[in-house]
Amino acid sequence: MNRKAIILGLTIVLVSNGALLLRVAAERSGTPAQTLQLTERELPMVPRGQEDSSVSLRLAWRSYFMWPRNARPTMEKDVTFDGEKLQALGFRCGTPDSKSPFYRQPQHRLAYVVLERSEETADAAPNEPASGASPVQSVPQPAPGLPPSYAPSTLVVADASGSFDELRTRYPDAQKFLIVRGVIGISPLYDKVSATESRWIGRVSELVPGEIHVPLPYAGELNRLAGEKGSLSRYTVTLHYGPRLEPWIGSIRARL
Amino acid sequence: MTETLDRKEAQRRVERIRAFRQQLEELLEQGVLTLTGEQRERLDRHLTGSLAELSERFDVDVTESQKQISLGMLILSTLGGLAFCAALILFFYRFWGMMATPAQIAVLAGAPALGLIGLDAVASREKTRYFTGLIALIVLASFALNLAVLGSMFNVLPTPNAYLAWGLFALIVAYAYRLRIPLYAGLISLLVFATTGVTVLSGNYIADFLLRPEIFLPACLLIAAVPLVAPHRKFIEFPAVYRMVGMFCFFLALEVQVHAGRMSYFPFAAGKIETVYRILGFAAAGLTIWLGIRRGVASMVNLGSLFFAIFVFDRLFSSWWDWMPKYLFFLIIGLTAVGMLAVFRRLRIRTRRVSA
Repeated sequence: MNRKAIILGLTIVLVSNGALLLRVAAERSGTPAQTLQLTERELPMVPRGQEDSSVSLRLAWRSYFMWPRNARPTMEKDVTFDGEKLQALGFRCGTPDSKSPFYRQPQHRLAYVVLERSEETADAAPNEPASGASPVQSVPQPAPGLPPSYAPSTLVVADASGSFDELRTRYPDAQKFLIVRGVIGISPLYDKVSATESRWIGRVSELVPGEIHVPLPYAGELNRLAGEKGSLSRYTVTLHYGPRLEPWIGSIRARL
Repeated sequence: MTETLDRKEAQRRVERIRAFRQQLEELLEQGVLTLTGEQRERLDRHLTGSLAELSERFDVDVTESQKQISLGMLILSTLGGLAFCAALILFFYRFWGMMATPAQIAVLAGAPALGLIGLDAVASREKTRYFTGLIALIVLASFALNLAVLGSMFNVLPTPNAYLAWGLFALIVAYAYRLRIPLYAGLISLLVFATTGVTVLSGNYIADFLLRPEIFLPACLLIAAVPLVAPHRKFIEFPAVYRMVGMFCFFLALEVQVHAGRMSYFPFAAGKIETVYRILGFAAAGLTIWLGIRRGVASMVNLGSLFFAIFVFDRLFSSWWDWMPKYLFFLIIGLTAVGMLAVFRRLRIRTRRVSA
């Protein structure tokens, strides 16, 4: 028997599992940093294959590029960042010409992203839009004839920063503004007039984590609802976020 | 482990006995050597007895057909191990949604722990390493599944740390049971840990680590240099794995960088960076061939030659393909191949002299 190998191997298994579980316990202990009630529209079920028995929800936010091609009711512009905002996020922005090439800087950076629940402010301008961030658009509806599932989320990107505290100070209403971790990607903006790549533009390319695992007590309810046809908001989810902004599900209620 | 080392020594002794017998037959046929009937019988009895003893004690291959069957068994154990890994992962995904969180954690963490104990039990009973290798693959897969699924279950932000745990675990399995595939897996995991770590520390998102081939270069060289620092006298087959992982990934990163100067950290024009990396690629391939010849390591010579050829053809393609008539391009490729064959033939002769 190779006792030394077994002890070392088991130590690695124990330490790595223990560290991960301790991290999760620390994240979920005490009062959550944020708690929100969201519906199926913001947290749709992730389609799964026959071989996968788990249930996950996807945190959906409104983005022009994420819509199905035939479900774009308006040519809404994506929420973008440029100039000083990108520099504040850590991007070194020169002019994206041949002397300062496209890839010569981080392509994606992890940042704190503010998602505004636009349902309540559909026709109003957002509170103090950040410099460099384009204004939030109104909530689009599914195109005529398309199933309700094509309706986009009511969560729209309002701002981004490298500091959670800065964003929370600027957006104190935790029920209206959800702060999550997201990846900002940059790309050069092509100017048709001058036929050059004149400036950099940043977008939220993904939210991290983008999918939220549903534990067993709530998975059964969602499995039941998955087989039913109905409105867009068949369930309401209480979502908690800890200090590291790692989410977990507090409860799921079917809506009557 | 001592027993495994003895088994390898025993296999080498079998090869020597078989070569001696063949040579003896030739010498007797040519009349260079003559043995009396009694001498011949005594020698045959001794050699047959030695082979039988080695076969009995160490389960070594004493005939050519046994060697072929052993190779087949090795391939089967690897394929079987991979199939078991797929079965394990699919089985877990099929049923994990029906388990409560504590049960999921117990299954995920318990599988590699129990697997490791089972692996040790099999290894202590098996002289060959076929079933040990197969179970080792399952144990590695179960530990990979453990941390990956646990992370997604608790919606944890991605970090490079899991690669460190996987790498160390695989190295322990590799060294404890003298298995090469876990060593490959462990070194690649540690390479990914190093590169994702640098990516995160330099402010990039973790998934961008493949966008910057430069960060692979020092880590690959470190891996390839391990056998120079640690000679591995007990694990004589392991230095080749270090060299293969380190140098192959090094050359691969160089080849990508040759076409992606814009992905460099250096503040120079993309074209200049690509030229420098192209020259570096040729120099590194040449140096690898030279070192391989000097140290008598055939795998280094082969790897250096392969990438030298890739760099040459790549250069020819990027410079001439667009404007040159295609028949002329392929003619030049053919002539270049002939020229390189002549050079490599001389290298081969030189390697043989060094080995002799």
